Amino acid sequence: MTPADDVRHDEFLRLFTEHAPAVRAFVRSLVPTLSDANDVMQEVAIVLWGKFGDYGSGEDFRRWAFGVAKMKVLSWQRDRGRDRHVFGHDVTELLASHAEQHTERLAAQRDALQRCLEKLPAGQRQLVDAAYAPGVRINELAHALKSPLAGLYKRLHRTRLALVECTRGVLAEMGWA
Amino acid sequence: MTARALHLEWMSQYAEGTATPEIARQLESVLRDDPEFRAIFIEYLNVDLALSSSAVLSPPTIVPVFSWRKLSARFLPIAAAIALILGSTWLFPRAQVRLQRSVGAEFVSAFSSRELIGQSAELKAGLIELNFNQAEAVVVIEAPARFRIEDAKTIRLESGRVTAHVRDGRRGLRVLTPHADVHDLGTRFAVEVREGQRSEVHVFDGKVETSAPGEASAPRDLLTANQARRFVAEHVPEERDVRSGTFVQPEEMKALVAGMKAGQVGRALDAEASLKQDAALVGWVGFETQSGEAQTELGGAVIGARRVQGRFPGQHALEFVDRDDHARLDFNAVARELTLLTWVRLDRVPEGISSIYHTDNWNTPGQVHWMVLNNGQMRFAVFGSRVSNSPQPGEWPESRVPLLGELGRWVHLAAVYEADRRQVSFYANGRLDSVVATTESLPAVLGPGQIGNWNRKPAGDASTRRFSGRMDEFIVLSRALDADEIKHHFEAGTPYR
Repeated sequence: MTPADDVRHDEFLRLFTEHAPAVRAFVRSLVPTLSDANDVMQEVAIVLWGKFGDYGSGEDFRRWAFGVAKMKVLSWQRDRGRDRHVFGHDVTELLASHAEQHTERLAAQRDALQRCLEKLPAGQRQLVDAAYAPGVRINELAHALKSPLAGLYKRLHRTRLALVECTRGVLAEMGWA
Repeated sequence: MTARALHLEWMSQYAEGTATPEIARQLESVLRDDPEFRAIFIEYLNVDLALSSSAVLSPPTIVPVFSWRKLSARFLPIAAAIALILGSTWLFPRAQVRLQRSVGAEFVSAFSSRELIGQSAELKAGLIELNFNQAEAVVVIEAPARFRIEDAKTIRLESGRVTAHVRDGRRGLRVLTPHADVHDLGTRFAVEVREGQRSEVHVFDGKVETSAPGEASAPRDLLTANQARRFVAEHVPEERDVRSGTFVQPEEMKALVAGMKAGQVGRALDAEASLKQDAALVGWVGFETQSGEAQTELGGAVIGARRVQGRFPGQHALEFVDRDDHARLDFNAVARELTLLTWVRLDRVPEGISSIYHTDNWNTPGQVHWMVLNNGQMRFAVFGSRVSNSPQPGEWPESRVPLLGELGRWVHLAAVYEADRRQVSFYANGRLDSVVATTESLPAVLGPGQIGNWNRKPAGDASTRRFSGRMDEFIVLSRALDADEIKHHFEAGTPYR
């Protein structure tokens, strides 16, 4: 790379590092599963770097990145056109709009999650640790725990809801509406 | 159940990927009409994402986080940085010992939380890479393996293989085996435990010490680079040749992960199915027999060699370790055109010549010998036909570019013999290396022979051939594959990206 490339490289990495969590959360809000979000996020990252030459220095990187991410989600949805799990364009727009407007709140929620995890009863905390451990498949975990799969999904769902409730409380204490 | 509780239930199923299309449609309708529920929905997914992202540096289900093949070389440095960012944790401090990567890992019993200290696991297939933060060590464990992470610097290996790269030996990574404890002093080394049989330690760089198992104050033996020891009883060492190539190194893991992600397993199986339809196929030696015993699909006898993991998780190769390890085969064919293809991982052998395939009746016209010499060049000889126009008469055809750079990873080798054109062509990793003209137009005779060690003479005899490493497929066709076909076979079958 030339020195000029190096400078652009550094600038891109600085901006991408800063905004990747928000972009990732934005993408996650628009596709069904974590795996889908990761796939789309890879594409987004490639396009962001590939088109970074078009990005102006004074421009809002996050807004630009959200725009790219939304395009990639729509393209991903088109590719899965016959999959009836994919939401329609209108609902995707509503979700994207909400996620973009509440980016800061969602970042604060992620920060608040640590406190809420610490408040979880030991059993629920262990369940979260186990379910989100790398490489774990829920059906295998259910087998290992000798727990019915449906029951395990329900326990995880209740735990996630409890965490949402808890983070809402933390955010309210911090003055978030 | 209230309507809201039902909607939350749908949301859960959607996020887990278990929702039916009908539920997805109903959920979509609620999201369209209910702004408050939209907020809950997005926060719920945000929590789900944060929990998953916090688990490890690079969760195995999503690594590699980048599609390298889509990028030009110019983009690779930044791609690496992006990959790091996408996989990075933003919520939790790092675990002391954590799972960093995996390649097709299947567990009999898996870890139950992201901090691995105090946990045992049994790996049925694939590879995992662990990061020992305090010991500044990266450890690759290859299936099948049973092990326990004892503490921040210690792994107990009941069976399987471990390869460790330790940045600073003063941090003291230890690998405990049933036969000896291995103490790192700043190095790259590997440990293999065959349950109930033996343990081996191989040092590639730096130093390690070994001691009797479980005795902290026991006297220690020092091993330095390129030394290896086998223990069949508690800390009774036997000197062995270091196996430099057969252990999977941490440097390979990224390329293996990328290969899995890119669907190389499927491509390889497709290519195999296609080649098996080839009318010129003489023999396909694979090692996927269901019995679990080391034998070939062709029914040839395997002596000593062991079935181990092949280049893809859950698939198998033959591993040749000791001098007697080999497989006997008889293709019972005579061919004027011949293509030999194989995937191997080669150790350097002190005697200098690695035998890949040798027919038994050398000294009779048409017998075939294929090997890798100690300088890393291939030799392919059909008895009776030497190199033509050579300044040194009587030479056998040899490839041009040494394979030394390919030791310690899977490499695809091919030799093509054409009697009528009087030539031998050599290929490494799908690329034509050289075409060597030969003196005679003799057909190749593939009678009784061996893959692996060719030890028909006493050990120490100069003509004894040694093969140390793994072989995953050995294919014989009675026609000359062209450069494009060989390139395709390599590209479809490589485990790397």
